[in-house]
Amino acid sequence: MTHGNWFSANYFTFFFFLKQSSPSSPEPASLPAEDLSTNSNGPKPAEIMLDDDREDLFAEATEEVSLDSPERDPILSPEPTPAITPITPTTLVAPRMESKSVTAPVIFDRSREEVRSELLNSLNLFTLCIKFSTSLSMFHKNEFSVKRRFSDFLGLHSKLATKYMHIGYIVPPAPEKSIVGMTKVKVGKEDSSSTEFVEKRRAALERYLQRTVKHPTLLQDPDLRQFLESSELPRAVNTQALSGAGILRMVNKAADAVNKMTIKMNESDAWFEEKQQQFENLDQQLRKLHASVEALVCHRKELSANTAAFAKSAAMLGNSEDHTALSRALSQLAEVEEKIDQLHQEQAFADFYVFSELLGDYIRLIAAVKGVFDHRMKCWQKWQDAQVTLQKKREAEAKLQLANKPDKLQQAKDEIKEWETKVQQGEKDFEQISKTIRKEVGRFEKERVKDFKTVIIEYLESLVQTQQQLIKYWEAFLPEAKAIA
Amino acid sequence: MTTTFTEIKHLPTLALLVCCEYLAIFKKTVAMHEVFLCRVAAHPILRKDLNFHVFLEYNQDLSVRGKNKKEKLEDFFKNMVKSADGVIVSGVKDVDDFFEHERTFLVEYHNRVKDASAKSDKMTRSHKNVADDYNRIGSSLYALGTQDSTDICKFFLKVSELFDKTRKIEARVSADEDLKLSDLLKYYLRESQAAKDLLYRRSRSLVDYENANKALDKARAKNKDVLQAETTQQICCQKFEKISESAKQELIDFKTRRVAAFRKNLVELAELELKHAKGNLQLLQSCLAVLNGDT
Repeated sequence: MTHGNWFSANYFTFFFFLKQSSPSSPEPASLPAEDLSTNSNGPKPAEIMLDDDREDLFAEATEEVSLDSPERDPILSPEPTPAITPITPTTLVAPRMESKSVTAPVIFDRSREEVRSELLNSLNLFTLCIKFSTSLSMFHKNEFSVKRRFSDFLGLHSKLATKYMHIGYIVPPAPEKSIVGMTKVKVGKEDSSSTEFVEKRRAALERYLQRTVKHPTLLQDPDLRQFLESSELPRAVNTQALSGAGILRMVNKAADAVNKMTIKMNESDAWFEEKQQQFENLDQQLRKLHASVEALVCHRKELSANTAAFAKSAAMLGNSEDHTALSRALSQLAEVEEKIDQLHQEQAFADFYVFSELLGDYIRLIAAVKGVFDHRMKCWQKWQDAQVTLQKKREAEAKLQLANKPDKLQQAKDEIKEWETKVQQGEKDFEQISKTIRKEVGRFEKERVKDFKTVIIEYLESLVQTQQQLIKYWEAFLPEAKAIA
Repeated sequence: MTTTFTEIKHLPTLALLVCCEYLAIFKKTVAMHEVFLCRVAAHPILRKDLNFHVFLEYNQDLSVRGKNKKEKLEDFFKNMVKSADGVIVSGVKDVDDFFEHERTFLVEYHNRVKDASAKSDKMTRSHKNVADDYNRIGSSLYALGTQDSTDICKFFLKVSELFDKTRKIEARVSADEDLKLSDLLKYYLRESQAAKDLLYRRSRSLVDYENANKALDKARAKNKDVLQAETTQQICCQKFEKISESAKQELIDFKTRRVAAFRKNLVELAELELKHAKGNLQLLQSCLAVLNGDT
């Protein structure tokens, strides 16, 4: 289309409008709906191999845990609920006697006034109350309500990770520390950002604990049980970021990263290679999605603020308008926009707590999965190293044989025996961790699918609610606008 | 690499996006020009103007040229003088209640419409940002859907489709708000400025009239150039009365038009918001029905 043609098209259009008595701009031609084929182009779902492990007492419970979805309690309102007064029965997850599991623990925020009045250590004022119920016999009660500090959660995670990650179990990661956030809360700033921070942390800890409790192996762990049951926990000192233990952790992490780069593993099992690649891709995609959702949260908050500002401005305009009916309509428009601002705020809340946080959690979970794969590599390396050492010992023994030194020879033979055992153990460990990882990944994938489906549906339902409210508001406003005479 | 593949697959959406934007801007521009021409055509005096007739009827290129540098500079100085003068002239209190009321009203109204216009712009821009985010989310979900190895890939693809569709609606909401609300306010910002300018011209002529009166009194006292002073005073008086008469009518018309325009636009705004919200709701509910049916 040349430049000249475009002009004449415009000219023609203006003329056409003038001839009509009540011109109204036409709607643009409706664009064809995008036809996205719902046929998946992706690879066929890989067969998930689940070992029939008789040693696992909770094999049955695993089935049940995944079949009955523990209710996710709604996130509590920002008003702090004192832990001491009993919560109304509706917010407690009802105990289900048939299930052989622990119901999803729910975390409540303790009132800050209460915390101050108690002589708790001043370093960690952030205390939470966990409530859950169970019918499992290993717990000595049916219902629990315990108080825990943030550092207690970190301590729990640290213990579980140390015990289970290196043998192939995917331990859910705990929420991260935030020195800035915590300082603001401790200083006593009562503004909205510190309330948000507290709520964000409470929700994150609740999700963390629910995931951990869902894991059948971890549920058997005595440390976890102590965490859930005991009224008093010894303080976890090694979780502070700048403590000796904290620094040691950081050094170990760095060392691990270097080691990982130098391990070249001969992967005999294609499944592992495939899975690692899949997790790598998934990680990338989730990060992208997470970034987009975070941008959405930010923009929605901006939209809310701008809507509120417009509402005020429209009200002012309505005040100075001297035509009575129009003035009233403008005031009503201002009211509608104010209500819509509220809607945007609530939607931003859902954008974040439902959608964005899920993605953040899974990005961290995948890091844990990658960690487990790394442990397998280290295990393999250890086995290989043992084989190399055994070979060296054998060669040394052969040399000693020739040199004919009987006393040293005995020692050499002993060492060979020792290293043969180590090699055997190494191979066994490697096979065990490989088996565990396969099972864990299978379980993880099932959980992931369930989680995403549940959460995304919940999120879409929040969008539905917003639209329904919008319809209500505009339907109420329309007659007001028509009433302008 | 799989990422490039999915981006290419999404190219049709990019073309559609550009189309949508262009149409929205086109619609807006057309609407503004339409309002302008209708106004001129409806005005009892302006509709008879020869320039207007030429504009409507001449069937060849009008060859309109823009203002050259000299003309732009003249305009600039004229504005400077006007604002300076406006300050002086606005100090003069008007005897006529109608005009006094109009002046107070217009000054306040103009400021508030200016504020509302700016805030409305920001709001519509934010809406557009949200729509753009939906687009990115849709793409990411699509990528996830095509790469995932579990049975969730169909789920992701459906949700991605939903986001693509809902984004279109959100973009229309933003465009319609811009058209019906922001543009309305912007227009009345300029209209109220034009009304203020009219009041200024009338006040200017009133000052001239009063000055002519004073000059006449002085001339009569000195008994010098009385006839000339009388003629000047007469001219100023006529000018003032004529401008007062037409200004009154124009300001009354201004109010009538304003009320009609706001009514039309607010009704259309509400209707469009309802239409889009209902469309969105239906999309979401049908998608949820499919997703819940599958799981």
